[in-house]
Amino acid sequence: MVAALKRLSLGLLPMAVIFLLLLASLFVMGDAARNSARFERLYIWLLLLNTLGLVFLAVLIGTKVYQAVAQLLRGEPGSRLTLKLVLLFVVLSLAPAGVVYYFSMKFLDEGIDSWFDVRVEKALEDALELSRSSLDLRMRQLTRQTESLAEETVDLAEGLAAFTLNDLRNRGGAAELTLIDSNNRIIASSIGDTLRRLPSLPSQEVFLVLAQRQNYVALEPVYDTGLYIRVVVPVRARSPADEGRILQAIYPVEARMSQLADSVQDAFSEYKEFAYLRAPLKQSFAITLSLALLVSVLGAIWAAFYSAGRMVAPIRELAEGTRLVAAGEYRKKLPVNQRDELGFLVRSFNAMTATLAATRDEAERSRRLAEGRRTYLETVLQHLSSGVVTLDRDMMLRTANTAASQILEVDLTRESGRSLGDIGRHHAQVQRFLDEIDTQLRQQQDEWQAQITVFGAAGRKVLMCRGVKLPPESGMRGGQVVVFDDVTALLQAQRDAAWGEVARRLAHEIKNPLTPIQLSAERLQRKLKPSLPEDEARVLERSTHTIVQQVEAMKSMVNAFSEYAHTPAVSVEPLDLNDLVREVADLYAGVGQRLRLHLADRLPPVLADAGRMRQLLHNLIKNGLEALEGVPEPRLEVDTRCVREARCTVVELRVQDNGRGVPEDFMSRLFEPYVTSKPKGTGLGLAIVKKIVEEHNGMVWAENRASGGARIVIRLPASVPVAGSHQDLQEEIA
Amino acid sequence: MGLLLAGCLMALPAAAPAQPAQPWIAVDFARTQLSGGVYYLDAGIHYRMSPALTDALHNGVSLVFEVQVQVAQARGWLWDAQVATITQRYRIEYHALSRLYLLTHLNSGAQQSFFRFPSLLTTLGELEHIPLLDAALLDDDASYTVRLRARLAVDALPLPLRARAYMSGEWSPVSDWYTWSLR
Repeated sequence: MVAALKRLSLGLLPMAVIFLLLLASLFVMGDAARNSARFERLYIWLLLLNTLGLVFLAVLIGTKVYQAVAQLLRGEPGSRLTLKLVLLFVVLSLAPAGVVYYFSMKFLDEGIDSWFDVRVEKALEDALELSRSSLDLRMRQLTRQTESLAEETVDLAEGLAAFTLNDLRNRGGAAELTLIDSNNRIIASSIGDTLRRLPSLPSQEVFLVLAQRQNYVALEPVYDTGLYIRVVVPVRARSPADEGRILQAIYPVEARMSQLADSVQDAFSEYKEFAYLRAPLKQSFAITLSLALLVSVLGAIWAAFYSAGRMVAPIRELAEGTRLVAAGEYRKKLPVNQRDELGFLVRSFNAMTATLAATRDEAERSRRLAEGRRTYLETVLQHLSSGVVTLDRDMMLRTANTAASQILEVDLTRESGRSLGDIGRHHAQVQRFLDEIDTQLRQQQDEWQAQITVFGAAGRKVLMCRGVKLPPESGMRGGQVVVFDDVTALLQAQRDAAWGEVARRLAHEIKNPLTPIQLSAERLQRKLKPSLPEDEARVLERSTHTIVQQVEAMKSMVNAFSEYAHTPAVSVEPLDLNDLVREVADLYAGVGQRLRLHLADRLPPVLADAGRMRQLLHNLIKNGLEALEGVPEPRLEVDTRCVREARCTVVELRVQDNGRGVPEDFMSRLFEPYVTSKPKGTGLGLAIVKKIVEEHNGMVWAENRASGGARIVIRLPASVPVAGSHQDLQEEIA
Repeated sequence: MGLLLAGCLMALPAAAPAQPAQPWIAVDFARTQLSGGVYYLDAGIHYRMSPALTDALHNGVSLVFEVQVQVAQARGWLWDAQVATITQRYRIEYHALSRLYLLTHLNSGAQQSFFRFPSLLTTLGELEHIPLLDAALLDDDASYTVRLRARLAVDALPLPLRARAYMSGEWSPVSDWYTWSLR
């Protein structure tokens, strides 16, 4: 129903047509009310049409009012203003229309009443009465005359009646004289007008009057022209056959008299009719006037709604647009239908939203670009092998990448927002890191570089640190970014390479001259000894012996060194480490209780060269046994076990003694050549061990046991990952 | 909307007062007779004048009554075909000077005067030997019906009264159709 009513909201043109039609029909109605012959037949239809038109308009306006009130209740933008404007228009149009209507009705009422005057009416009645009086006199005369004429027809024979009547008519001055018998049959008739053949018979009621033996006399407009006096009298009967005869005489009224009487009659009749029609006429005028008022008022109300709608539409659009802009929707374009100030406002609004949308889009593009760059940088940082941390001016950790966490062995991403000092309280490595770079950080240099050493679970680490002050536009004024690399392995490799070079040189430069020196010394002894006195010969022998001995010693040293430097091809194959340990341990059966084995069950095989691994075990056991010399209750333990660490399975070999342990300052260089704490030995044993381990992609480190003694730990990758038992899987990094 | 308009239209006749128990005009009888190849009409119509119309008459308003006669050919499979329509119009007026009521047959111009109004009404109601139609115009095999009614000619009323006549039966008396077979 509501939807159907909404469809009724017609546009300006149809409404204008309807309004004009109604006005035109009102005009015709007004014309018809003035008794115009042209339109009076249409009057009732126009009345109906107007009523229907008004009902239509009323329904239309009722719909508009309903919509406006509904909009107001819903709190729609512009609804209050619409109603205010409509009310204003309605009041402005109703007030003058009402005043005009009131006075029009008043004037109409009084105007029509003023047409009629009591005195005029009385005068007309008097004139009518006067006419009657004067005519009555004449009528009495004519009655008497007709009675005397009737007396002359008493004995009239039917055959002579026509002639007699003609004579009588001429004598009496009648226009028509007719003799009628008792059966209403015309006996004879004489008509003055030669054109007329038939007499004008009296009506039935005249016979009734005559039946009562009375005369009938009346003033009649018998013919179309003027007044006539009809006199009907009974004729006295001489014989029963003549009983019931009547004589009718029709006399013309004198022309002047007739004219005057007609005039009086017409005037009186018309005046009477007008007076009678006064009330209906007033009603008719009032209806037309009221319809005109209603059409005007309803038209004005509709126009008020239409105008208010037109005026408020841009404001409503603007309110809606503003609401959308507030909600972040800048795409809304308001239609510009007007060229006035409101249109200008709407255009400005459109320009404003367009600018806002462009700005927002630009900002969004920039944000996405920045986000992309940030993600890119973060990805790069996270996958750098160098550790990167950023600190603010208060030394609070802001960001740290994965490599930084790995190098410092603490999950720094969780520690974001805490100071390095705080983190260092729980993580010794971080504390050491902070201690080492604290000076540089506090100096607030633009750029600095330092090589520092920290100790962690995986042993000593050498870190190359570089610090850069963050630019102010980064948003972290006074902050620094510290980049550090774990260069331990690099330094070690450099050192190993240097030693390898030295060994090759020694082998080449030193070993070669040794044989000639030895041969020369032996030759000297052989050649000179017989020719020398005994005491000199002893000196010679002692000296050459010393030379030969030392050359031998140097040779063996160079051989050992060259063996260290020598890198044979490694042929790896799956190897059961336990078997190899037992085999090598059997060779040391002589050492009795000092050597103990703790070998894990189900140890996974390792990919290794059996010969190199045998050498490794020999070196370790020999080294351990040497360390136990002079120790009461010496004990050397060889353990194997399987360790699952992160996502890889490794086989761990531990050789530990209960000796004096490794001095702390030796610890970092223990695996370097010629580093030994023992009086004897080449100092290459552990260097070779490390070399072999590294050839097998393994890891070796030394540590002092808490209960005394040293421990060498070797980890080799297992050839196949196996699910070991619980006891084998315990992770233990001392 | 259409519903609303229909409602308004329906409400208009409903506003008119109901017809009185005895109608203002009633056709007492009507018949046709063939004479000399021409059908003649005889009818008796009873007129009663409402007070409103009598008042209007005495105030100088002339009234026109008309008698409508329609001859239709009955067709079994279609609506009836109109063969002839005859309308007899009569004007009645009050002549104040002579205090007579004048009856004018507008078709012929014949005029009669009455000093008693009921006499006029009686004369008005008597239709005698009014030629209706020539029998030669009719089809011998077909059957014809004639219907007749009398009414006040509202369109002849003065305009201010016409609106009332459309609204009120008192102002627009009309008889029912009186139908009979032509032969």
